Amino acid sequence: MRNAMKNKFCEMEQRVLEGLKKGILAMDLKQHIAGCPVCRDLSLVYRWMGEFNDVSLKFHGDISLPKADQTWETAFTPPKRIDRALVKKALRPLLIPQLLTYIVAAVVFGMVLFGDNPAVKKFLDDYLDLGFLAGFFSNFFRFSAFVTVPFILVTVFMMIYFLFAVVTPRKT
Amino acid sequence: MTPVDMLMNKESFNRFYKKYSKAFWFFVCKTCGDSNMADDIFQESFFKFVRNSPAGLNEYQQKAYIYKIAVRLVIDRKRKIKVEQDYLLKHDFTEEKNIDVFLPMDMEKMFDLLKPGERSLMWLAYVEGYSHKEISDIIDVNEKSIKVQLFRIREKFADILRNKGYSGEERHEE
Repeated sequence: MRNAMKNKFCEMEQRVLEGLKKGILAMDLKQHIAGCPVCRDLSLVYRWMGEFNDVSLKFHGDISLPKADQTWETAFTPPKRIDRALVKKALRPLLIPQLLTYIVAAVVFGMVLFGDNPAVKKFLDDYLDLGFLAGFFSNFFRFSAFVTVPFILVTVFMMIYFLFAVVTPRKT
Repeated sequence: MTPVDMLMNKESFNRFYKKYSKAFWFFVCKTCGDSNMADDIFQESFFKFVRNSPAGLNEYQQKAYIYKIAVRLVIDRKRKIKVEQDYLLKHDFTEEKNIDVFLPMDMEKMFDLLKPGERSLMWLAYVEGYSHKEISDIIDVNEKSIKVQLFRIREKFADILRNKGYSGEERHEE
């Protein structure tokens, strides 16, 4: 209701603002402020902002800003580039566990696909004595599509990642 | 001639920096409502300022130019940090009963009730003392629109202040 009745602007607004800036309000301006909702809001907000500024200056009085010279120099310093050789060196300890993971995933994936093949079974039995693994994987993964499908997806994703991220050389 | 010579020299930058950096930091801090973010935006603004400031600007234009950079950076950052705005919307501080309008932290909270754009307008108009024309140059919005926006923000904020019991009369009578 109050907003609906209120004018958006007041002709005296600029004079009131000037008075507030100087810190001196003539009697006619004081009387005007008392009767004008626009100037009353202006006066109220202006005073609060002034107090807020004073308080902020006290509160953040000890802010330490960078030196002008430092800012100038930094502005014209080209950004550092990532040294790929250093990154590779830093990540070297992770390479072996990463490779092992991929190898195990590839073997399991192969078992899922070809575990039933009699030639594979024979090979595992005759040379590695691991024929039971072929039956285990083929039966286990066929048991439920909820296991098989995500497993195959994850393995394929890992294989693709391995091919592109590890095997494919990058430009440095 | 290097790009640096074409823009501004180190001495004039040092003078400008000494004169305005503190006030500028306060403007950025109050606009974004976070002193850590203010530090970042402050530095980034000065970097952009020295790299890109067009030649031949006078001091007033230079000041307007760096404020313009900062306003854009604050708005960009705030867009990225939407979560924070959502937090403010969810936690309506106007409903808090124990806010003291004269305590620094509570004053910050009260000012944070305004949006970043509103805060920058209020700061430029009532702390820095810029005219509507000058603000319109900084914010890139026409002068009439600044006048209307300021009226609306002022009205909204005055209501908040009154609800919290601030009358503004005490200081006035001193």
